[in-house]
Amino acid sequence: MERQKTGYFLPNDWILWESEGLLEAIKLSSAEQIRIEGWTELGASKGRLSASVWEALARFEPLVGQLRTRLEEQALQPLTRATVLRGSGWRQLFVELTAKCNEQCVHCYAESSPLRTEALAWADIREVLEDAKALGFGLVQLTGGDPLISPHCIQAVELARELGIPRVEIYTNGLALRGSTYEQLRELAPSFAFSFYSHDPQTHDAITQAPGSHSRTSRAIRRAVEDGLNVRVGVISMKENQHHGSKTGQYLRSLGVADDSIRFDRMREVGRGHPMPKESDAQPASIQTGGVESDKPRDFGGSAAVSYDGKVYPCIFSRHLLLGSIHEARLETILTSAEPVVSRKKSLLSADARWGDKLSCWECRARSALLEGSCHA
Amino acid sequence: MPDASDRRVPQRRDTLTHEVTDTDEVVIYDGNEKSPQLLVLNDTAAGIWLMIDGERSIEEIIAEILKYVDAERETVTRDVIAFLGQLEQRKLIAWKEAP
Repeated sequence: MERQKTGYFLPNDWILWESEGLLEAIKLSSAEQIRIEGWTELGASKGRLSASVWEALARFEPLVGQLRTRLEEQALQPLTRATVLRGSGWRQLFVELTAKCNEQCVHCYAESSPLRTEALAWADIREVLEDAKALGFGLVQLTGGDPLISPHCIQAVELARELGIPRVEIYTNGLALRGSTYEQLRELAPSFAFSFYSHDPQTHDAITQAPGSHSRTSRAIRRAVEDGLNVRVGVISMKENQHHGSKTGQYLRSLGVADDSIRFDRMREVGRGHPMPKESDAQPASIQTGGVESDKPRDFGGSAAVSYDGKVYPCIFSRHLLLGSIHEARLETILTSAEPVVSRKKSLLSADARWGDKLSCWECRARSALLEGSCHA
Repeated sequence: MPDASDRRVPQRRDTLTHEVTDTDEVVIYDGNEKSPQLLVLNDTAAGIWLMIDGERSIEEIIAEILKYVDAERETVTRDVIAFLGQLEQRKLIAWKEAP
């Protein structure tokens, strides 16, 4: 019979389970684990083990030393939906303004296309941004579809600025970044993240299924860089561009994009994305040249995504974990739910293997393992 | 599970190491598992653990403990047997036949 376990989150990087004299702990960022028998109740008397016991434990296992330090610095938090979502702090909120896109990328996770019509209404966007401010998100990313197609994109950037949200980023293909749209946005100076696929125009256009998109996106990137706007570029690797990493990085640098602002990732099995062949050299190792890997170690931070249909997920890729809908409750209410999370160590330890094809960062993989028992799409 | 009439001798598993702390607790480290196993024994359990030397039988361990504690033989016997049972369950000790 399995023991009754109480779970805790220890910011920023640990999940702990305690039961009848047993402490199990997993370090999220490295998936290392420890198990201490003879523990006394964490809730009642954190660290009641004597200093000399701690020291002896740490001599055998350095990871215990790390855990002890963290226990001394941070308060344990109950393992609830809110603590798992927030992590060490609300970092990034994705807001999909519209499902419509002027491209129809072969791998699109959101299955966007010119034919899609779903979109967030202005009243919804306003409430979402107000809640983002109230919760303290450091970054709001406007995405889609292509957010520049939404009639509310500029207004959303303006409101985010007025509210004092520290950073606003527009994730776009840049096709609509021209004329008065560009002039207005240049004044507001949001950050831009561009999707780009290859130095080779034919390959790029084949992926976007939009003839001429390579030249228009290149122009938008160059202009934004020249105007001093904050620009980064995301390159998704797939079969079509599998050997283009190095030259694509070189090309983007020639447009003025800083080396550390070029991020490569592989296609994820979400939406129109499908798994990369295991034996293919289209894996990230072949495309890292010219940019930084997008899954570098960092704190377990909080993220959330509001989809174009109002559904709320932990991130844009975690569409298997439905948290709620802004048509039924405010975003702030959805993200601060004190509902306990029942999770298993086994599930957390297998998170990378289970979610690696769908989710690009380790935090989302860990969050999936923690939340899968309580959230279903 | 051992019992009071058991003639076998408990011995610690080879893969274990332990350390006695300043506060007379014993910390046991099992490096043979996929993930590290750490056990903290309070002073009573620590006392029993330290008696397990691959030579003493259950009866000899009980007799040794009785020299140091003010308790009924029946109580000590029950505690020692229960503790050895737990150690066996966790695969921290093995048994060998008495010579």
